[in-house]
Amino acid sequence: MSKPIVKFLQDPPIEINCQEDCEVKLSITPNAPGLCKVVVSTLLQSCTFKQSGTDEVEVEVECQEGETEVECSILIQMQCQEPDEYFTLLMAKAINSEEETSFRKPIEATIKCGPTV
Amino acid sequence: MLTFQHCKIINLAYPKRILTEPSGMKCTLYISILLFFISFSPTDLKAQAGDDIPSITYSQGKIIGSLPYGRHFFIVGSSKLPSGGRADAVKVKIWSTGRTIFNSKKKLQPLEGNILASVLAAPPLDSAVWYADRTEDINTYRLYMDRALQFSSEYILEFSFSERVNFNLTEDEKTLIMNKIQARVMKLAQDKGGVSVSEIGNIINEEVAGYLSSTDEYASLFEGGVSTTSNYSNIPVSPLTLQNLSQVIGKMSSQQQIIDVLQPQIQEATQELAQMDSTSEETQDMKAQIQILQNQLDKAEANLKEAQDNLPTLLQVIRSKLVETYSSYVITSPEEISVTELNAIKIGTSFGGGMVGFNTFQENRDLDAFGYTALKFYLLPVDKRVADPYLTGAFFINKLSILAGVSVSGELNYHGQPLDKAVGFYPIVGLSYDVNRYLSLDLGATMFKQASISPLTNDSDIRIGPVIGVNFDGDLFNRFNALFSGSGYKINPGN
Repeated sequence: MSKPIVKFLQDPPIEINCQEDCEVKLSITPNAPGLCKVVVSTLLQSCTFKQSGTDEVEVEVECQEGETEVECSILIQMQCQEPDEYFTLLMAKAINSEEETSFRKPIEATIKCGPTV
Repeated sequence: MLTFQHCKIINLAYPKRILTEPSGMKCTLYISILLFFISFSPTDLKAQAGDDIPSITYSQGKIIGSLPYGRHFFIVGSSKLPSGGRADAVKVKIWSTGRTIFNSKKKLQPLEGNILASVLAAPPLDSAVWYADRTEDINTYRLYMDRALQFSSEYILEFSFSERVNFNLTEDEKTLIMNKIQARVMKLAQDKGGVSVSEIGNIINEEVAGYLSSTDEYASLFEGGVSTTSNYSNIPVSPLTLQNLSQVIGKMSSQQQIIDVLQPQIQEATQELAQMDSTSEETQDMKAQIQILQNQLDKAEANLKEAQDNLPTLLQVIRSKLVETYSSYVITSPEEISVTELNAIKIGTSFGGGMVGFNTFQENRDLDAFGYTALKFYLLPVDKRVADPYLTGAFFINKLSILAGVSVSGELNYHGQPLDKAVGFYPIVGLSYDVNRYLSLDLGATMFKQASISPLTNDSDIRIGPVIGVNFDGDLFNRFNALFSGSGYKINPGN
């Protein structure tokens, strides 16, 4: 079976502000019907996703039989140890219902975190 | 209120005669006594009481003379440094140790190290900074201290002299430093999955500071009995320039990270592709994915190369700033401990009224009131010329004095029996407590002669009675001293 394919639909860099939600738009080609998991992660050790408290956030996308490409957007929010401006990458990968994992797609990201009030 | 015209006693040897003498002559004698006490006044009182802002000198690690109190003052000294250069800035900080000195002839014990450290750890009481004007060839600094110190108190002064030394880096040296900065940022981004603006800023400062310290020929010039610190981290790169540079290096590190992520995936995909049936649909999909990955990799490599090619131009701002790199050397002198010695006469002059109260509850309601004048010998240093005349911290006793005086009017009686003056007047001895700088409450005793009530004898006994009184203190000794020295009496902080 073919691997799923994931693509970012935004131009780099993705600008993330810690104070608000950031929309990450993705295109998923699941290459299999059913639930497809999409994982967005960061390489940066100083920051995590608020939703999960870890370096990755996961969503599930329902893919119908015969559906070749699904567009989805994920709202992410990040938190960092120190207020600063960071240069890093966001990574996305998809795992389809047949447990096939896509290649990881990187995209540049800048994370701006102001001091918490 | 009693005035000089009401003076009645002065000459203790001839009390009977004095009572009949004209009051003008009596006051002349009084002034003579005042002049007598003034002759015991400190010799440097004139200098303190002047209207000009006083200056003290700091020379060879010592404060010359005593610190002024109760007013603002200048500290002056030479800005020349042991290195032969001149200080760009001189800073002084003053702390109070909280100790007071009651006798200028006695020295305080040296402060223990831990107490000294705790005093210096607290915020200073006052501080001032003097900056050199490079356009003028002046080797003297003047520090204006705008906080009045307290008299008879101990203070610690710390002087810091700063000199700025410029570094002239060659183009090769700048390139070397910039390459080190770039390499460290890329390494950090690789290790931590990204890099922040402040981390890039720190690396720039550390690399420049590290290089300068390794080639510093100046530091040894500042040795010699004083603690010296140097600061290379104040590179004059504006936050905006630093932000721009961080953006460029940050983006470079991101491109390198993309390459690091994609290259192993392409290798893995290529190996998988080699094991596939070349005619299968999956093979076509895999080829397409490898192509997508390869396109992104190519783009990242192109971006990285472009950024590296452009980096020298982008770093030109930083390179030019490196010309201005300097180090600030700060020489901090050992702490100087100095005291504000009291230079006022701490004897008060009081004129008051009191009562003995022998007859308070008798049919004869004569209050036995009488006027008196007295000297007040304060137990602790007092200077009523300044805004805060009493020592702070010493509760009650700071306003207490020993009272010694004589009656100037009034006659005592006991149940209608006159009580004669013991020695031509009623002497008064006691304690006085200042309600404020002018008014005080007195408690003491007076002495009188009580004749025998027996008609068979003329004997009389010396007896003592309690006295309670209120007096007005005009601080006449210090007022006369100021008058005769031609200076003002009042010491205002601002002049």
